[in-house]
Amino acid sequence: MINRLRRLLHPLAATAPVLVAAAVIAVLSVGIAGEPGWPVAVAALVWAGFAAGFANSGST
Amino acid sequence: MSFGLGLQIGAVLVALVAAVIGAVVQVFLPLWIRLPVFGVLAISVVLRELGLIKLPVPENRRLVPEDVQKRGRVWGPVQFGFEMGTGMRTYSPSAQPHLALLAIVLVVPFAGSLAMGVGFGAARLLMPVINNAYSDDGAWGDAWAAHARLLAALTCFSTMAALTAGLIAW
Repeated sequence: MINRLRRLLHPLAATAPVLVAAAVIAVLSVGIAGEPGWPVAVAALVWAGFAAGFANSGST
Repeated sequence: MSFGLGLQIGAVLVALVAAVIGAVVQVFLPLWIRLPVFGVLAISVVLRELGLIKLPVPENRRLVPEDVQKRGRVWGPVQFGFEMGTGMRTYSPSAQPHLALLAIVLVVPFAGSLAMGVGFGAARLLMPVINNAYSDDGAWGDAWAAHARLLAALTCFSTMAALTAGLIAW
């Protein structure tokens, strides 16, 4: 049972940060639809760099 | 702490160098040329990340030298982080860092480039933190490898969407 739960949780744990990234992008999109400005732009570009860096996370 | 500092210095330094090159490129090449060129390159990277095409990207294909660790308790981690932050002396399993560099050279404004460098360094710091918290037997790497295609697609979506959002909002 515990092993089965672990197998279920492993991929979820690995993908969770990326899903959070998608959620943040959704929030940013809402911000852009409202009042776009440099804070939104900077946050989005920080996140673009973050996602690009996170894509390498399989390596150590 | 020292490792994270080195990561940020390395990542921001690479972003800074690319931004200086980009400043020259962006002065001499009009946006109507740079944007389509970047678009074609971005689509190529997306297709590569989805596994639809084979596209070799520049990478050093070696591990950061172990003697870096012998530089002491402070400077060893700083230099190791710096090496990981620059990505110049290590593997690159994804083409997305290359896409980020191309974006900095071709379309991202100077200050935005530094923001991308900070984000990149933060992600590279998060990786060992999560890896260690996940387990101490390397299971993170195994889990990542088992879902590599999905993760590549999701991170690629995140990179492209955030980049597009940042450029529109700038």
